[in-house]
Amino acid sequence: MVTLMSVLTMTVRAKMQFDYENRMINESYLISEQLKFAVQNSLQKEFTIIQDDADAFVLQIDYCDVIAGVLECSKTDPNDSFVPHLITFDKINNDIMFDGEVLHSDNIHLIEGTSLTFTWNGAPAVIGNTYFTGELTMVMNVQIETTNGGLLDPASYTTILMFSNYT
Amino acid sequence: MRNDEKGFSIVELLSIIVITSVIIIPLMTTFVNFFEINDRMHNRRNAVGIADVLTNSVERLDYTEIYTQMHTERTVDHLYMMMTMDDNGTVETADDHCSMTFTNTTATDVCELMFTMEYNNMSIPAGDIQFYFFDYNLSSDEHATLQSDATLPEDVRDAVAGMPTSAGNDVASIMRYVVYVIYSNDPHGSVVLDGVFIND
Repeated sequence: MVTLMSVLTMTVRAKMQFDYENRMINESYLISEQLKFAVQNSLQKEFTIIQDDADAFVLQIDYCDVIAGVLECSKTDPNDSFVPHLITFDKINNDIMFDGEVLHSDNIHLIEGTSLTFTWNGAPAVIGNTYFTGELTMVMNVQIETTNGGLLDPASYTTILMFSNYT
Repeated sequence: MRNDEKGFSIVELLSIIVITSVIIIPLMTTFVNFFEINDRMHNRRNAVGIADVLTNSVERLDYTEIYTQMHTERTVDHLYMMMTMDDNGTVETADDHCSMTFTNTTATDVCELMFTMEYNNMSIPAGDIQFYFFDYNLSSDEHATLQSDATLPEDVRDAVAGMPTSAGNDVASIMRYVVYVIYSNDPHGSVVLDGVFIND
């Protein structure tokens, strides 16, 4: 009976750890997927860092037409459908946002050590015809707050995304 | 000897052990399998994420250089060019594709980054990310040659089988490619995505 109870206790603990790790990785996966969609969808894009200081990192994504024969990104659209999007990393509250909406659940916190960095591959330079390339590296230190306010051990996830900048 | 002594007989103890084992062993086996399946699912999902980033990154490479290199390397028996990274962390086919193929240093950086992607902490070991480049128009003979080419992984041959045949001539402005990501040694432990690379 004691053995059986020990096994059951061990199983319940393992199940809790399993659920916790799954939850963490799922949150990281959801954030990665949303940002991947934002930077990699098939529309032509231009990326501009509009803020990068101690408070926040803000990356603006403009969608644009590439006009035949003209190597430039035209953001003027008669239907006004090319609304710029913002990827924001709030360094004070440690939140990652897309167009002002936090990309993680209320009881998930990104804690100290989290970063969102934007790096050009080499100096920005035109490859072949029209685009620059860069990478977006996310290091997310994720922590879950339980319903009674307790904090579970944090976990860290790194994701690298690549994109090009039409200009 | 008294007959009303308290305690368990050896038969009773053995019965308890057998019954407990009958309960615990399947429970533990199921639980361990559950962990393994969950782990495999996460690995696959992350490998798909990496493969997806790679398919979106191909266009950052220099089309003309890749096209020229493919036509330098492809032979009658091997109608493709493969790019991967060796165990020393350098990209090869004929040793270092990224630095050999591209004169533009930015393209070289992009190329090397493609083989060291990371997604939710998962990175793929050197050599387990492979790109295969093919002509856009594949005749039925070329199709047959590719599908019987034992140097191509089976999953890549399956992807080739899904490509349409065409009697047309080679198109210099479009290539087909397959991204092959091996994330586990288990059967079916790989992800294959294919697409077209357009010289725009």
